[in-house]
Amino acid sequence: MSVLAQPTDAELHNRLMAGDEAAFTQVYRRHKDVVYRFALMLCGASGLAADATQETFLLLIREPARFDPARGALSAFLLGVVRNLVRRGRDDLAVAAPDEDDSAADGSHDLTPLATLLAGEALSSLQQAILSLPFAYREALVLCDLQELPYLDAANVIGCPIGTVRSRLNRARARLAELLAEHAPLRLETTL
Amino acid sequence: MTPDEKTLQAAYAPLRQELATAVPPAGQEAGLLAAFRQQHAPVSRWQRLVQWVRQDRGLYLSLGGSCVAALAALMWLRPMLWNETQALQAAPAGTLAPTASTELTTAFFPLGDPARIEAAQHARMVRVSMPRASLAAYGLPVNPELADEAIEADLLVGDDGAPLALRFVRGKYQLI
Repeated sequence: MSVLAQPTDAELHNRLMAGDEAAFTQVYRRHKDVVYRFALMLCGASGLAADATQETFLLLIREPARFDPARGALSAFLLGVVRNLVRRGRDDLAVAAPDEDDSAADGSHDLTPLATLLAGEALSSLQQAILSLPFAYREALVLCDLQELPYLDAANVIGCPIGTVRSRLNRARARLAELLAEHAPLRLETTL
Repeated sequence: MTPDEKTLQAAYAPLRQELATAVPPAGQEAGLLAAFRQQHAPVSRWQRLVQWVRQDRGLYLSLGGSCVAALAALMWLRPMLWNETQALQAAPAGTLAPTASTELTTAFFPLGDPARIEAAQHARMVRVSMPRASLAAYGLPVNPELADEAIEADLLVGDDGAPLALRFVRGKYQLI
């Protein structure tokens, strides 16, 4: 039984430029989650992240020639676009109005109510701490630590040298550790 | 890996798990596909022209339009300009003659011996202001209503600083 090779992003992009709807669908399904998650971690609000994701793919529809396969991967291009959208228009709003629903509880049905509560608080603290980082640190941390992109790819997305990504990531981690230490919840026994 | 980094990596785990479940709204794909179809739908020639103008060609079109408008204005004004030029050229020496587009001048009136003008190696022109009444000294009519006002003149000055010739200047629509 032979396995059909998946078309590359460059091939799909060529077909997409020619008006092939199936190619666009494939591109969207391949990259939508990564783009959305990156936007979500940058702005902290699912509605804004969804809007930014939609605008990113709309740009690909309307101006597909903006992506040049010779200059990098399609994923890096899309992440770069959504990054710019969030950075230019939505960053301040997003931090001011993050999602209110505490979705951390969703994946912890098998925990005790107290453990669920503490896990949710810890996750919420981490999210808030990441959102309070300066944008340049935040994007490096999200790309490298949460989305686990190689430094080179992160540098392509951000549009800076790889050394800058490394230094920003180090500073972001140090700042995040400080923030988490400052806002660490008191131990249960000390509150009793 | 430092203790801080280990702590962070441990803290990341639940966030990564949560992030792995985050997906864009389900309806987004349908909306984007509709936009894609609209973008690639066959368009009429007129729509293509409008699209072409809306994109980056608007600038070129506006520049082209400006050129066409300027040409049309020139064609429209040509008879008037032509008549004025003809009238000025037909005027006798010593009266008005066209020079620059913004002002009219008389011909030069020699001051003293005209041979000095030909003999001068170098000369320079100096714009001066004179009493309007001095027009009469050169046989030019003077408007009594404006007789008290000054009039500009170009003085041709020789190497030795002596004036060689004089011409009167007026604005294009200014009365002498």
